Amino acid sequence: MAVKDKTDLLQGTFSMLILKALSLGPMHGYGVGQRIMQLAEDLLRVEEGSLYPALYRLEERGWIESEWVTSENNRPARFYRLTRAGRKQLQVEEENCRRFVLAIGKVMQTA
Amino acid sequence: MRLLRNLFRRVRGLVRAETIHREIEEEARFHIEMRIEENIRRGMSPEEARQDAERRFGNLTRVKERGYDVRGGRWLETLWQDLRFGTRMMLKNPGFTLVAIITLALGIGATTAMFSVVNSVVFQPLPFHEPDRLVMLEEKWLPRFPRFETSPLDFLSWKAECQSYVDIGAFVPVFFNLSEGDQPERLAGARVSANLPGLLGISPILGRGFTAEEDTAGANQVALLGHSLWQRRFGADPQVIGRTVRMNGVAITVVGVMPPEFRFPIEAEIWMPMGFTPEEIKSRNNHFIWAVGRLKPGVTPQQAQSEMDLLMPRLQQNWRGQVVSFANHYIGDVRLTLGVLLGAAGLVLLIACVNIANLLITRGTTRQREIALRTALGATRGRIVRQLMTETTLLSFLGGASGLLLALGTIALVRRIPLPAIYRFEETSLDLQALAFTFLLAIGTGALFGLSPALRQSRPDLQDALKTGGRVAGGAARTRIRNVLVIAELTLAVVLLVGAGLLLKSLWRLLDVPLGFNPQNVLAVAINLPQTTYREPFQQAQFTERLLDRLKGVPGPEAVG
Repeated sequence: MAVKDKTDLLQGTFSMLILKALSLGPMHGYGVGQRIMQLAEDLLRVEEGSLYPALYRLEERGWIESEWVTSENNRPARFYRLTRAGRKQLQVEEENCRRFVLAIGKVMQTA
Repeated sequence: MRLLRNLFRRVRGLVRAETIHREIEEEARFHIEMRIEENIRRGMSPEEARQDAERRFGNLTRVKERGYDVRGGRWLETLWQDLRFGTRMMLKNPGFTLVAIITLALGIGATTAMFSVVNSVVFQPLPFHEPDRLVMLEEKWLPRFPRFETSPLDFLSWKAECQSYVDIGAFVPVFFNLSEGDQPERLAGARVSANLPGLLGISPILGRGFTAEEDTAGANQVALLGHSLWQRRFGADPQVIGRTVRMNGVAITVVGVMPPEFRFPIEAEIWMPMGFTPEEIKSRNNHFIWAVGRLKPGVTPQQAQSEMDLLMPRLQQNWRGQVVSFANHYIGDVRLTLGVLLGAAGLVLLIACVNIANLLITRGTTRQREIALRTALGATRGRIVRQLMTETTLLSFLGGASGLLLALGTIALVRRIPLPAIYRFEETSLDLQALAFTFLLAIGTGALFGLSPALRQSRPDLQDALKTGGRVAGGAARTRIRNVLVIAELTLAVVLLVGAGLLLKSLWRLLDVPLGFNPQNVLAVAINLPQTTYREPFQQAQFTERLLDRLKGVPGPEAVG
């Protein structure tokens, strides 16, 4: 695969995880990272630096939206929330991912 | 909708770049603070906590930059960067840049100028009421006089007997000597039948037109002023009606002022009623006036012509009448010439486009190496395309601006050259549609071919391009395109050259017609004698003799006659 495709795939998966995390409720960026790691039962390490560009990119495409809110420790934080389009996109990506995993599984199973 | 919102956000991002930076910073800080708290809760010391948090976050600056990039605040800086780079590239290749700009300028400038002339002369509707219903009534006596004036008696007969017209008027161009104040001036004007302004559909903006009574010899000491004359000599005085001025030695009363666009016939500034004198209507063969008719609704010029054909034999033995549309009378002869010139200009434009395309494709080949390098360094294809587009657009813009200047200069030149043979030549003004069209065409060509190097990088064979790029011809397809372009350009250029050569030859022949005398150092002077003082031919002869006597005494002229 050409270099570009590889980063695309990774980026796509990451986006899907973020969308999934947000589907459980609005959260700020830090919270999203925590939630993903929590859901993955610590099997994943989220690169915190790339969280925010990914979040911004998702917002550009209209799948999430954000607003500034005063958080628990009285500091302003940007909270993200899934949009309706985002919810639909999540379903699409879930389906694609499932099919992909299935395909890989089949190939790898042949002994 | 999303596009709009994003666009809005980008524009806002531009204006509030500071805010975006600040927001990203805030978010990053918040994240790190949360992590620090978490770490402290887990038992780390504050110092360790902070270190760990910052390490885990990654390179803060990099994150901030990427964030800023995605949020879209960067595009203006990118644009500025691209422009600077583009300018640098253009200056590094002055030959290419100069040729490209000159080519564009010639193509755009020549075509726009030509189009503007044609537009003013041919396409602009004549400033009369329903000009397509107006016809000139001429006379002809083939083969010597294909288009000739008519005579007052014929005109009056037509007025009385023809049924095809709402009305018929007449005019004859005349020069007047205005001796008002201390600056006598020779004015182009016309004698018109009283009904002519009304026939053409133009009313005076001040005062009134001529009455039928004023259209008789002796009672016609009245005049209508042209708008520019009114402004120039009478200071646009609203009280000018009723003033008397001396013209050709006679006191004339001003009865009205005409609107600015009325200069009928060519360049007339002042009008007086026709007032046929007894000598003028003595013979039917006194052909010196032009007649204008307005066709009745539903009457075609052909029907009017048939009527004329039936009528004329009764009036005249040798002369026949012809009904000619206004447009034809004024523009007819010139249409062919203008068409040819327009075609030539179009060819120039085409050659220019082909030339640009060729230049850009060649340059694309030499730049392949640079593009391969940038791709290897991580530039996305979108970025490269954007940069190339900016460069090409900059070049096209410069070329277009030069073309505009050229067109304006040419048009200014055209307006100065008095070519009275072409009606409204001096009214040529920049035709914005033509400019827009040629501009877009040239820029489109530039964009299309300027992008060729970028578009060919779909599957970057980076190693290859890096090693040999800049020297290789660039693939079979590209060479083929280049060959086609070169052939096309040569063909068009040859056609243009041949055409130009032929035209030049015709022009040369025209200029070369022997005049019958040696015009070297001969000065011809036209003198306009006021009719009142020099009405009789013998008075005119006396004046001429006196003038010649005086001139003979003046040192300088070798001979006078």
